[in-house]
Amino acid sequence: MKKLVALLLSVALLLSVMSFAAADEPFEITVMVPEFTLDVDYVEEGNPILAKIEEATGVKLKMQFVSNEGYGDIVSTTLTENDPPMLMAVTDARAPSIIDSARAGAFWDLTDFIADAANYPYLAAGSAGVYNNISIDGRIYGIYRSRAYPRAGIYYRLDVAKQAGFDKEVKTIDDLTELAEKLAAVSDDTYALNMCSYANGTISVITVAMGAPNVWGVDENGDIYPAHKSPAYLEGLNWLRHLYEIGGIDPDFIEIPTSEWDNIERNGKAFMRFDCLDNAHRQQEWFEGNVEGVTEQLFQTVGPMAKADGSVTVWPQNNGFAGEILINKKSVSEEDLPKVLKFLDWCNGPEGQTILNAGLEGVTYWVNEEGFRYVPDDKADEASENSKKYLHDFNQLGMGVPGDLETPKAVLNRGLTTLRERYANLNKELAPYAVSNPCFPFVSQTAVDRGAELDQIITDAAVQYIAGVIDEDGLKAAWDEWATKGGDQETAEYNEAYHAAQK
Amino acid sequence: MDKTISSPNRKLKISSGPVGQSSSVGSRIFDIFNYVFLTLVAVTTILPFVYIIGASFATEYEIATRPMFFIPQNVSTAAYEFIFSSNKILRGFTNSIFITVCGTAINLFCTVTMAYALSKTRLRGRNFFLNMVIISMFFSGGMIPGYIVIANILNLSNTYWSVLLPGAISAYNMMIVKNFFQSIPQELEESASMDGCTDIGVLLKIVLPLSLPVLATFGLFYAVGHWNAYFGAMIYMKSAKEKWPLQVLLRELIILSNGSAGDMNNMDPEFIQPPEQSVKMAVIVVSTVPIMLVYPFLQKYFVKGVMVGALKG
Amino acid sequence: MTTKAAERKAVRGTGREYWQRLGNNLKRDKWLYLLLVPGVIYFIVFKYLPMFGIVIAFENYVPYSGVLGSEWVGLKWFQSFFGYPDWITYLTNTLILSLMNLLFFFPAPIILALLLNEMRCLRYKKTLQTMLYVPHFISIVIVVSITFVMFGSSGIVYKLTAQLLGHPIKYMSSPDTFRWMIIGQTIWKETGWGTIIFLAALTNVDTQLYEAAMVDGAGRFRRLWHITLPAIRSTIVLMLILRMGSMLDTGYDHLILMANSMNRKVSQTLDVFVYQQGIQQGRFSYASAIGLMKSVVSVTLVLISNKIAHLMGEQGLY
Repeated sequence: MKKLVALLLSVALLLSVMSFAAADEPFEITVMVPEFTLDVDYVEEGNPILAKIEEATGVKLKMQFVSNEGYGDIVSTTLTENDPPMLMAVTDARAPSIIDSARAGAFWDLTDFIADAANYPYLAAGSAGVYNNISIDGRIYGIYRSRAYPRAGIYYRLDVAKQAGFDKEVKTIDDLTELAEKLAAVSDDTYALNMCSYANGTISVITVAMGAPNVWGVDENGDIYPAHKSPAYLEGLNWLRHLYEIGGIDPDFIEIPTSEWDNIERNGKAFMRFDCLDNAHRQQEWFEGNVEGVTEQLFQTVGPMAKADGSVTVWPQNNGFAGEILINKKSVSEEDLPKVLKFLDWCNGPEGQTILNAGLEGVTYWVNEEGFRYVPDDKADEASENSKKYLHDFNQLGMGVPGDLETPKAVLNRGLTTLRERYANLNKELAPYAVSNPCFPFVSQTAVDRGAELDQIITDAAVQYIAGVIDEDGLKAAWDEWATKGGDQETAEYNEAYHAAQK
Repeated sequence: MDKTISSPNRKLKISSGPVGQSSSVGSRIFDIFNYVFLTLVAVTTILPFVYIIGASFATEYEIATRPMFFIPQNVSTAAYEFIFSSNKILRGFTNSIFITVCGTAINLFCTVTMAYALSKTRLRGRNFFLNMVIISMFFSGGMIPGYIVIANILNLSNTYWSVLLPGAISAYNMMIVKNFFQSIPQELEESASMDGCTDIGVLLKIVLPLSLPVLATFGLFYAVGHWNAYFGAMIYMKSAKEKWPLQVLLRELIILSNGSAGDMNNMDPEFIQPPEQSVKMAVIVVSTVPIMLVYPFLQKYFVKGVMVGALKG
Repeated sequence: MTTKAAERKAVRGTGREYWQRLGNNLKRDKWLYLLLVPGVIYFIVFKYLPMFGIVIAFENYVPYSGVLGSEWVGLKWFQSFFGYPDWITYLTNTLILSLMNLLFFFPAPIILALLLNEMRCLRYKKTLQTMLYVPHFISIVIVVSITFVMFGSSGIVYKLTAQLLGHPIKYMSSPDTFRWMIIGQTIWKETGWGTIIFLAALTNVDTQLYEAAMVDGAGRFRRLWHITLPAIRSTIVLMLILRMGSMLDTGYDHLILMANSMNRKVSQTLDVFVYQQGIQQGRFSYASAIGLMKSVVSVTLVLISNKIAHLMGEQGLY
């Protein structure tokens, strides 16, 4: 009897030791992301961050940093391989090549897993709207990489505005008009609004602010219609056309290449821009860094702007994400899939987010008395070096779907970064007013085949209208051209998809 | 034959080419116009590059505010410091030189052998091979099948062969070289083969020495092609960072310095914007000056082919 | 039987004689065949093996499924392309640009090479040559930037024309100037580099011919016409024939940089369209289909021009 018990006990001990050893084996996950840190090579040996990740998740992470230039081509060629990286970052989630690949079964369908809040709490906490935006035929194939939203807006030169007699906050569209007119009057050689050959962003900001939909809208009958058919769209164009007429926009703005766009403001040739809000602090920092004697805040971003009826509508520059992380079916078996998802879930949690975005305490950042992340001056070089060697571009794997859960938070007021702080808060403030494109999750074959050309017809006509080259009849003629060349077809296809999804 | 005329102060090398020594009034006027015109054209072609060099040493402020200048008011080496801050650039340089030298050698060997063989009209099957070459100039499988062959079938990923072999022969270049070989008088080669030379011997002893300008020209074209190439390295050597040529690194640098274009939204608060515009200029200087200096060295091969008098015997 | 075929038969013999002659020829030229080996292997492996990919033009190619596993769609992409009415505009724009390129850019390096060749002072000639090809190394992005600085509304050329003509010409946005700007930029950028090959060809001219001609009393221009030009004629003809194969090529990066809302009607070419609708979005099948159409047209043009060259007594490709 004793012998039997002893035997049983030893077998049990042996089994538990074996399972313990088996559990000890780290699960290797290969990841491919684009690389932005170029001056220092990524170091894998003795990388404390990798060690920490393995300790926390049992995953041995193998990062493959490839050229950010031509990353799209690299993704395509990687998909031809027999053993592609298990996780792959994709920068354009709606590219036809990705959509086709997903439909052909290249990536794992994650819809049911994401809904599983018990096993993957952080993945499930992501925004339903953004998940919907990256869905293909109603199924979700990747975890999106969350980005600042809505990001687009209006900024202007605070000092010039004050001098021109505008000394208040822009709270309504009328305020904006007043500001623009005052800036236009500053001098004959300068302009109020900085526009260049890329006019789409500017047009979108003002038309949506006036109430137009974002590319596609839904009318009272529940049908899809294109943005240019809404009266608010024409109102927005007219606003720009009026500004052009009073000399508020460079008459030859169309010739200005996008590479020169920033220079116009840096030269003091124009004082306002409808584009990405983060450009405001970028310009501010350029002035502080390159122009002598600049210490005060030169630029100001505009918050929510109300229409006559008091409502606010804002055009979002993105759809809440910039690309996604996909799981390649060829290299991840069905039984390994939950392990990979568990890891991705961890990446979206507080610990994962902090490590991927900021690194490790004592290695790439330190914590001050208030509990914020910062880098003390004497450790700046060390932190920078460590960051480049060990952290490299881990943030490219960062998804952040449940929102910013980093702990500890980064300290923001390092001197004159009022604009940076304002940027983070402004995005939160504007987010509820962002107008999304209801057709974004759908695929229209016409849009794939000739969408770029059709969009060009509309934008070109709008630009010519603003510059006074064509009048309203010319504009309507262009819209008819758009309709016959495929616009009506596109509308019908989106309508069909939209109604199908409503059921 | 170049005659050297010594004048009181210096020796002028005057070629006895199409100009010769007799010069009528009309000839003189033409000469003056020619020199003036060519000088003006050369000035227009060189001025923008002078601006680029100047801008690479200028501050961001100056580039943004002065439309065109040649000497910066405030000299700044920030762009070069940014580029050379890592030894990766030096590594890229060495890789590029290695790839260019080896690649050009492979190019010339493959191109010349094929061009010479196909320049002989007596070769049976010649038309077949020529058609094969011509068709390949216009029909192509595209990037992905190319990738499948080189990376998946031949397994050349992350090796130098993946950038040295795929461009080994440019059909266009080969056809022109073949054309050159065909213009060499038959008699020269016949007299050599009568003396017992094989085809290969004729190639090495007679044809190649006569074709130095052609070899120099296409050697230069191939070399420049290798030096400027980046796409092949980018997709075939994506995991072999230590083998990357200069161009790939420099192109990435430009994207990086153009901070707003890169996906830096989650960027850390410590991120400092690199000097964007001057870096773009400095990148051009760093990547083009080395290869631009190659041609002057090759110019000595562009002398008269040793044809004079060869036939008179 | 045609005379050529009859000739060939006479040379090569028939029946048993044919095989004997063939064997002799192969033996006689064995070294030449050996020299051919590297080149032929190269073309087979790197050019013909990947040609299986042309099949992609008839599929909805997805890299994951591979060439064999992707869905067959037949002529769908071709139908899609011709179904969009603007294709005629793209083709027209492409052809006009190509023709202008042929007329104005093609002769430029030849003329420049001839002018350089007329220079006596070798040192200066070499310096000029080096200066002339510098633009080849400047990326087209910078070239367009510089063009904007000079021809844009605050540029010096713009202001000069405004003064001289009384009214300004909007070089950068007018549809009428677009094509000339493209050609002008191409000429400025590539002419210098293009002279290299002609200068190499010109070194083959027998200098004694010049002396003999001068003794006979031939002037500068006649020497150029009768001695210099013929020396490079076969090179010019060959390059011209090969150039025919690029009639449908315009490239896209240069044009996209110069295109804007005002000149859209003339700046949209086949390559721009294929880039925007195909390559940019990773639609390899679509791009491959259009590429296939272009290839067929290119080869046809090349073979036709080669025939024309033959008829004019030139050696041509073969």
